[in-house]
Amino acid sequence: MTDPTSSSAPILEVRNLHMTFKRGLLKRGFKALRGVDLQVERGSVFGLLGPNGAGKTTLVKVLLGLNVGWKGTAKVFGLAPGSTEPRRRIGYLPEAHRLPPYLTGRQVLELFGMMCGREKSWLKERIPIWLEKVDMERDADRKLKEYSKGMQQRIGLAQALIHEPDLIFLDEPTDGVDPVGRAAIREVIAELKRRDVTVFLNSHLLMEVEAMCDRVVILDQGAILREGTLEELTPRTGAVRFELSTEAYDPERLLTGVGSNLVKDGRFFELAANEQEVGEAIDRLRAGGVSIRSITPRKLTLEEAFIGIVSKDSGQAPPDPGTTKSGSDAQKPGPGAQKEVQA
Amino acid sequence: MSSPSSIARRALMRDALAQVLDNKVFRILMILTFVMVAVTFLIGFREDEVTLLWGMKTYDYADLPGFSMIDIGAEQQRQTIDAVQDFFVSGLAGTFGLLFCIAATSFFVPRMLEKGAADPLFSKPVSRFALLLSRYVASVLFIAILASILVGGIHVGMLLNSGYSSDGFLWAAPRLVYQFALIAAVSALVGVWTRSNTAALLLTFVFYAVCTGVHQGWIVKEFTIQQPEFGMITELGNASADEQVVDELSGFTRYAAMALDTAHYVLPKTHDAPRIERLLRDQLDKVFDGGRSVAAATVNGRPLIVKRVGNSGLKVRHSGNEYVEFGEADGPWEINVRRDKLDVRVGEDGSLELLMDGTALELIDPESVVEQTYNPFEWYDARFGWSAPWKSNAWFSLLSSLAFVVATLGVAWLKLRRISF
Repeated sequence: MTDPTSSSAPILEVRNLHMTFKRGLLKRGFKALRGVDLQVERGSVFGLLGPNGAGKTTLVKVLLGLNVGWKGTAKVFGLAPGSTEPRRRIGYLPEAHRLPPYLTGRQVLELFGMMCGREKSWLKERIPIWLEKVDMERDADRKLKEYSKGMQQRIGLAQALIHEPDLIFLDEPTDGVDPVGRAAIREVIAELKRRDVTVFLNSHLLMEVEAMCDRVVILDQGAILREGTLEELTPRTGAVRFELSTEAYDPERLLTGVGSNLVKDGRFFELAANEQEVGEAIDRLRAGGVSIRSITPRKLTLEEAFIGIVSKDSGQAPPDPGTTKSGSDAQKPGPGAQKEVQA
Repeated sequence: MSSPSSIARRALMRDALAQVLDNKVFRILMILTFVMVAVTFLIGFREDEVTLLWGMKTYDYADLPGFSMIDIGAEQQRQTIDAVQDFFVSGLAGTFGLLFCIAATSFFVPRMLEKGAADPLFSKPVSRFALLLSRYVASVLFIAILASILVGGIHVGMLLNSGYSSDGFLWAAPRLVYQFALIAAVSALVGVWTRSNTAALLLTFVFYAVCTGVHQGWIVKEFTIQQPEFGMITELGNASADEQVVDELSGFTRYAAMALDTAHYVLPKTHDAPRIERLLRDQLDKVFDGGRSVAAATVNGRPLIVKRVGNSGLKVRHSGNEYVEFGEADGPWEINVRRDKLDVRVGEDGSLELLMDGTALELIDPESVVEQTYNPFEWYDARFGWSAPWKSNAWFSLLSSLAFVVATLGVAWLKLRRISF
C-alpha cells in the first residue's frame, strides 16, 4: 500500500465504486454510481463535471462519509472515508448549504474550526484572516439568518477552509456571489493551488473550471466518461482562426480551393486547414492586400468538449460547436464563447 | 493541550447553548419565568398578612378570595408558600411549561438533518452519535436553564421576601429536567426517523399522552386488582397475588392487562417524576432534622403519619391530606386535622406522643403503615418509595425510565448511522 503521508501518494483513491439508493416502500434501487475508478494526486485542482444526476455529489458524499451503503474501494488519505482522521484534513462547501442561522459568521467559523479539532486560540488568529479573504470582516458579527445568499456562500467557503485542510471539495463555490466576490473566491482557490492543497471543484460555470482546474473528470450516469488534463480534453479542432485588420474583404473569393468549412465573422474568419493550406491562405490574403493581425490554431472549449463527450455517451449526435452558443456569442467563431451549461 | 475530540465536544456544547438562547419560545418562556420569580420578590407571604412591594401595601389573607384556589388564607404561612411554589412549578411549569418546551425543542434534531444543514455538520470529524447527543443535550439544556432560574429564583424570592422556603423545593428543578429528558429522547428518535419537524412535534405529544394514559391506567388496574372491593373485578375476591388475579382474568381483559403491564414497564414513567421529587424532598427534610423517626397512629380507621420537617416543623398526613406546623424545635405542636385537634409532644426519650382532642393515641410502627384510600393515585402515592416492592419502587421507576432513554437514543443512533445525506 502506498504511504498516504508521502507527497507522491494519491490523496484519494477510488476503485470500482458503486452506490445504489434504495428509497420508498418497495426499496427500488437507483444506481447513482456504477464502478467509478479515480485517483487524485496531491496539489491538483480537479474539476468534476457532469449533467444533472450524473453522480457528482454522490461521489463527493461517499468520499466525505456522508453516504453509506456503497460498494467497492474508496480511500481518502489512505483511510476509509467517514473515519475521523481523514475528515479532519478535509474541507467541504456543499451546494445550497444551510449553516446554523442562530450563529454569527465569526461563531460559525469558530464552531466548524473547533469541530475539526482546532484550538480556540489557534482559530482566533486565523478567523480574521479568512474573513478578510472572503470579504466578510464587516458583517462577521451579524447572525447568519440576516445574511444574503452571497454572504452565506462566502462564510460557507471560509468554514470549509478555516481548519486549513489538505483536501477541499467545493460544490458551486461562486453560486449566488457577486462578480467581485467571484473574483475573490477564484483568488482563494488559486492560493490553495499554490499551497499544494488538492481542490475538487464542482461548478456549472465551465469558464471557471477551465480557468482554475488542472484536471477534469466528466461523469455521466454514475460512470466516469473522461478524465484528463485540460489540454487532453480540449484538443485542437484542426481549424485556424484568422484576425484581419479590416472587414472589407471577401475570403470566399480570395481563398477558393484552400481548406474547408470557412466561417466569416467581421474581421475574423475560421478555416479548417493543414499547415500547407494555412501558408497558402496567408499568401493569398497578402496578395489580395489584406493585412493579417493574428493566426490562432482553434481549440475546443471545455464547454464544447463536455457537450461532445456527454452527447456521444448518451447516443446523441454531438452538437456543432457553433450551435452550442447563444446570443451574440453564437455569431463568433472561436473560443470567446463562454456560457453556463448544466454540469 | 486538549485532544481534537474534546475540542469538538466543547464546540458542540457551545453550539447547543447558542441554539437554545436564540430560540424565540425560549425567550418568551424566560420572560414568563422572570415574571413568576418577580412575583415572589414583590409579594411577601408573611405569617399574618400578604405584603406588596416590600410592605408598601398589606392585605389580610381573608381579604384575598382570588387566592383560594392555592390555599391562600390557610393558617400556616409555610403551607401557603408551599402552595404558591407548587402552583408555579408543578402547576404551570410542570404542565404547560413542559408542553411548550417539547414544542420548542422537537425540531432540533430534524432541522439538523435537513438537506443543506446536515452536509456541513456531518462532514466534520465528529461522530454521528455526538451530533445526535448534542441536539438532545440542547433540548435538555433548554428546560434546565428555565427550571433552574424558576425554582432557584422562587426559592430566593420566598426566602428574602417571605422569610421561608423549603430547601426540598429545590428538587423541583431536577424533577422538571428529568421529566422532560424522558420525553425529549422520543422526540430525538422521531426526528431521526422521520426527519420532519411536524412529525417530531406531533408524535412526541402523542407519546407523552400515551405515557400518561398507560401509567395512570396501570395504577388504576393495580389498584383494582390489589384492592378488589373497590374495583371492577370484585367477583374474583381477595387474591393473594395480583399475578394470580391476572391469570384468572379471561380473554380480552387478560390480554389487555398484560399489554398494559408491558407498556407500563417499557415506557418511561413520566408521571412518577413528581413522586420521586416528593421522596427526595422528604428525604432532605429527614436529613435536616437529623434523621429523627416519624410517628404513626390510627385515627377514624385511617392511618395518621407524622414526620419532622426542618428543625422545628411537623408534617401530618391523614386521609390523603397534609398538614404542616412549625413551632419550637422541641414542640409542642398543635395541628388542626380536619375538625379535630392533634397535639404532638416530644417525650423524654425523644419519641413523639400524639393526642387527638386530648386523648392519647396508640402509636403503631410508621414503616408498617399503608393508607387505605378510594383514590387509586393516592393509593399508589402511599406505596411509592425507595424501598417499596419493585412495582411501586422509586429506583425501579427511575432506572427503567433512564434505560428507556438510553435505548431510545441508541435506536436513534442506529438509524442515523444508516442515513445517506
